[in-house]
Amino acid sequence: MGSLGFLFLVLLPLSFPQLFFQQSSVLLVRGDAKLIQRTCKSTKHYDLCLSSLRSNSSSLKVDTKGLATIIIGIGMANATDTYSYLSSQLLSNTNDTALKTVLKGCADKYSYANDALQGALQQLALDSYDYAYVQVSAAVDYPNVCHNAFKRYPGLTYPPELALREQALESVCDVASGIIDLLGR
Amino acid sequence: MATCSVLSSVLIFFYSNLLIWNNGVFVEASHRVFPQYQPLAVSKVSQRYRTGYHFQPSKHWINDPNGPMYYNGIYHLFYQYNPRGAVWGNIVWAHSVSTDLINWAPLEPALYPTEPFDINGCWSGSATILPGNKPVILYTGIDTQNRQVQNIAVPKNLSDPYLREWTKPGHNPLMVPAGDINVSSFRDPTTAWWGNGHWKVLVGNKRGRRGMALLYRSRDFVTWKKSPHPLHSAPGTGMWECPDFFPVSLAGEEGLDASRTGVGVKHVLKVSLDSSRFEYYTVGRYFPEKDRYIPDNTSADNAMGLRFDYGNFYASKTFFDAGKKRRILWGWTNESDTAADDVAKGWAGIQTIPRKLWLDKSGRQIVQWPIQELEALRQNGVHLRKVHLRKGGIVEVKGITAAQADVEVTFSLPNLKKAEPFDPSWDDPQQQCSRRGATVEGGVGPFGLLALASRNLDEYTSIFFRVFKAQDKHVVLMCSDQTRSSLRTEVYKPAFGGFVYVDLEDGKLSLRSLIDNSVVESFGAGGKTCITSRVYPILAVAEGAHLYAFNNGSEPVQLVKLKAWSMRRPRMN
Repeated sequence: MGSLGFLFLVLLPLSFPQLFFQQSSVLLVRGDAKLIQRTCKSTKHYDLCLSSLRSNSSSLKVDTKGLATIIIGIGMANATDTYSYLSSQLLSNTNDTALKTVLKGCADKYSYANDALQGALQQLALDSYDYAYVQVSAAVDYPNVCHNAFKRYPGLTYPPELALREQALESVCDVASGIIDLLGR
Repeated sequence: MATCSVLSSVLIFFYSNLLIWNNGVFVEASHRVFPQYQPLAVSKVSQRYRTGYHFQPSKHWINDPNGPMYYNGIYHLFYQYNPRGAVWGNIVWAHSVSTDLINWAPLEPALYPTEPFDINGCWSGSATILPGNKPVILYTGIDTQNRQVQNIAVPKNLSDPYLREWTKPGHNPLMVPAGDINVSSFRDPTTAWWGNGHWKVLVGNKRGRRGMALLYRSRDFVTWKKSPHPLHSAPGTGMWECPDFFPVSLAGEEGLDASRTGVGVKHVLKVSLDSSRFEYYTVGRYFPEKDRYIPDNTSADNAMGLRFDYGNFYASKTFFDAGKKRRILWGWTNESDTAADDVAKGWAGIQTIPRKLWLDKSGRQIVQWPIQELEALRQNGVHLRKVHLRKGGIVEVKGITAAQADVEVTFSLPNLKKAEPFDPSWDDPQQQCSRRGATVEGGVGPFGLLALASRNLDEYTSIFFRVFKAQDKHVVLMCSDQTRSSLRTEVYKPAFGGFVYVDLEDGKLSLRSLIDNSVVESFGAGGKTCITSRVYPILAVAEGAHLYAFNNGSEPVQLVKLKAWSMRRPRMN
């Protein structure tokens, strides 16, 4: 009976591997959660960084470069969405020529921001961190260029919706810069 | 603190990336600083080694050419100048004027530290002629906090044809190193160009080891905003100083105004590399809508790339000469003797002869040639024709003042088939020239000129070609070798080199050298490859200097024709 019991104890982990490996994967999850926390602490917007990464399931399985990639992806979605928003605004505002000009310019800027973030992804893949940083810095700036365009036309108001989107993209890009800065060291 | 002062005294003996302890902040500078030499005013200037026809003031230190421009029939050159000594320091914008780019008259300095935004230095910059024919200067000032900032200066009196006095508007500085821009890596504004409703200017910068050309835009030349993207950047190149960005015509030699874009135009971006103290350029496309520059893939976009000049040549700057529709290039050539020599002789630094610059027919490189006005200094021309030069052959060019001359020679190469094979691993022309000087026999070459040569050839500066065979073409190496230029041991005597991208279908190679006492400026294949050398001979001075053509290759070459002139002195400051 004793030896059987011993055998049982030996065989148990082999027949129910999940029970035991579950233990180690929990440890793995905590390790990566720590990485996410550490990484986000180095960025300008800790909470935004945390919530953005947590919304993506693969964030637990990737390294710092992977975290940067996820954030940049969120930025690209932001920029592309804003581009679509601006394009639809353009279509529905056929009367005001000044507004049309500005909206067209803004659409271009958000498109450039998207291109810049796309470029940043490519540079990240090549471990060219300084260039990736330059690209993200550019992406941060483009929404502001759009905002300035509105300032030149006193008759036009800067749409609150656009202001929110500008803020959102700038913040996401700031987070991305912060993470890339870690990689560059 | 203690470590810092030890570090700075160690760094003082190194050539680049200097940190100066200045009012409690480190300011990165690109010049050696010799505090022990600063307070020594120059009482007597030694004439030995001074040039006869190159731009230099009567005494003291000079470096970068600044704000060159053509305005109402007068050429202006400003330059970094130390009014108090023969080493870098106390820098002001000295000012000279000319009607022909050859004869120069000095004026009082145009810019010197006066305001909070330049109180610690008036460093390099460029001129822009605004609409309505209004010239302005953009320059780097070192402010009260020792930050590099960009400022504007305007003529005090536009009706003064010499533009002697300049004022600095109150809205300076125009551009400051905001955000994460390093306050010591933000300088050298370019000439502004206009497009898409904005004025645009480049400022040299770096991030880590990535050299960058930051772009600033303005609608009114008053308020400037940094463009999100730099115009261009390149990894591993270090700080980009003195950026120069200009359009070139795809057809012909005419120069273009900085704002030209569109069909029939390419652009050139040149940067001076602080970490290696030479420059490189690319030819490429400028996209005005996005304000991006993308180099063609026809040359390297790094320190191995093409250069305006493969020798002693730095901080170069071009300008558009609206009078004669040319783009003209200036470059600073410093001394290769010691700082102690400079202090003893009371002067240091010259500018190269202004060169016309245009895009080669191939579209892949720039070509330069000394401005035609220089030829007015030629005297006593001598000619040689059809001289056969076997191995070891040497012929003297007599009848001219060999220490101060202009010589043009064309060689014919009958036996190109006998050229040595080219080893593709020879990618550093300077190294190839260092390894094999003028006395080392080759197949086709070395052949060329021996300038500032002593009678017994104990001293000579050799400028020569070697021709090699590659798969289906020839490779031409041009060298300007100073290793035997002087019996003095303490001067710097490198061998400079550059490849000459020329097809040898007609079997001919040309060379022009401007010889001027302590400088030799050479132009290979009509200006496709240029090399400037500084030399300090003991024997080959004045009447002791000779000029020879030679061939040390196993294959004979034919000197088809050689023309040489003595060069008289112009009015020089």
